[in-house]
Amino acid sequence: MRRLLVVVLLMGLSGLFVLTPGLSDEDHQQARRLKELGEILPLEKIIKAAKARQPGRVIEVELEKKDGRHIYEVELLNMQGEIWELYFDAATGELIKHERED
Amino acid sequence: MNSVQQRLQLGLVASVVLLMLLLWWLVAGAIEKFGEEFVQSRLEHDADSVLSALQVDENGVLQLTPGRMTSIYKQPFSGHYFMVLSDDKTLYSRSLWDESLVVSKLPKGVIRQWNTQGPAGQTLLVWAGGFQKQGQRFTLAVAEDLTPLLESLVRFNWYFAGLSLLTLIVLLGVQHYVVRRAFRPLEQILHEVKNLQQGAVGELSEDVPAEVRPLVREVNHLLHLLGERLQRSRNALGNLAHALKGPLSLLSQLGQQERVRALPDLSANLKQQTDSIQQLMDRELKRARLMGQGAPGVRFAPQEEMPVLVDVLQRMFAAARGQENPLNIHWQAPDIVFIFDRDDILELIGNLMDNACKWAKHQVHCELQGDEHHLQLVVEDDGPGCSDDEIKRLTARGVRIDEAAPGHGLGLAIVRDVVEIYGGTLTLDQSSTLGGLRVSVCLKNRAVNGSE
Repeated sequence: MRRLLVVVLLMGLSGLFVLTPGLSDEDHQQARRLKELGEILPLEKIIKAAKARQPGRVIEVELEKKDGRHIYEVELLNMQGEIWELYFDAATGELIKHERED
Repeated sequence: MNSVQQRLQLGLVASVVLLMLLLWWLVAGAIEKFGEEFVQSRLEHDADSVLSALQVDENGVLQLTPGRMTSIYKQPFSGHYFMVLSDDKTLYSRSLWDESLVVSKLPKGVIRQWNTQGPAGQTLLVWAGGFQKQGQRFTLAVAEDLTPLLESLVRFNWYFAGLSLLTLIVLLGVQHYVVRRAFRPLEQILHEVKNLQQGAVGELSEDVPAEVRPLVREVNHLLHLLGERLQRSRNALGNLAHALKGPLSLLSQLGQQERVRALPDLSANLKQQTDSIQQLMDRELKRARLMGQGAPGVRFAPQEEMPVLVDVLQRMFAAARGQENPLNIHWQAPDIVFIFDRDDILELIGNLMDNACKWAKHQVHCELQGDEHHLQLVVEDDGPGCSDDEIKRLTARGVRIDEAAPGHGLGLAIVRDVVEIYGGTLTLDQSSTLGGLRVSVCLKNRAVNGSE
């Protein structure tokens, strides 16, 4: 029984290993869960706020957890070819940081 | 709307708009169809990759083999999405993030396609089908954002509308130019008709476009016919007057017979009537003589006509007056062409000068003035003239001042006729220079009298 548990754990770990990019693959599932629970805002609202702040095309979104807070990191490519990173509090939609990626 | 130009423009606008609408419907429809078909075939390919990446794990749960999907399905709200619905689990592409597509489960082998609203205001084309893999039944939906396609369609519509408008404007311009050119000959004809009215030409030029040539021919034909008819009726009147001369002189002779003289009432009556007929005939004969030559023209050139007229008068009165009492006829006229009926004016001047010559001692003076539409004529002589009383009576209609001098009264009657036709004025008074009678006539031509 204990062995089986270890095997399952190992399998899970190995699965985790294979899914290293898969870890970030999981973030949208987590985001979906958190949104359904009402803990964070829908991404659509965050992106709207980001675009209002910095017009451009969204090229990447990440949901991170820092100090117990859910943070949305939105990468935007603007018309000047600059990539901007905007950090939002996922729960309130408040802009935390706004910086150019150099 | 009685303008050929406007009718052509309306026709052109209608046909161009219709043509452009048809073309737009065809092209825009084709573009949209091709675009959707292209998107659809891509969706089918993507569905194939998703299908091949799907695996059923040992627990009988559907899983996606990682790393098999293109990155476009990973970028949130990229416009490319998929969803896999099975009985116990739903898989979403990462690009959907926390959004979802409204997809109902489809039985195996059924394929559907529809449009729906996606995240971030996107319009999606959804391609979905029911499948079975490794014993698991599931529904796969793949979707792509149609916004770029729709945007380019909108852009195309604007370009097309602009192009249509430009085409329409250019075509209208070209048509305007062509119509203007096509109608230029009509302006030329109008000019010629004016010349015709002034008597400068006898008929219209037939060197015109084929479309108007029949009209011009008809007008020429009509002109010819009218001229002939006028000439014929004048000739007929003259001929009639001539033909009546014989019977009339016979009647006069009858009146001279003893048997008739025995009845003074009858004789006087007969003489009065024959005299009246005689005078009417003289009038017609004179008219025919004065008008006889020449086509009907509405152009009176004094420098051409006056010498002939004066010559005729000189000859007419030379015999009666004898060598010791020659007649001096002076005339004065501007070197222009009056737009008046030549025959009317000749009759007018001829009669007035005939009278003047009849009464003049030595001098007759005739003066013409005015412009082409207005004619002022003064004829005066150094004869005995008329008293104010006589003048007053002369001006009254139908009164003859001297019944004994045949022709005088009638001459004035003809003059009055002509003046009345033209709505002009006739004034009789004493000549200040020659002392005799002075007759002044003012005429306006019909064009000025009429609509112009």
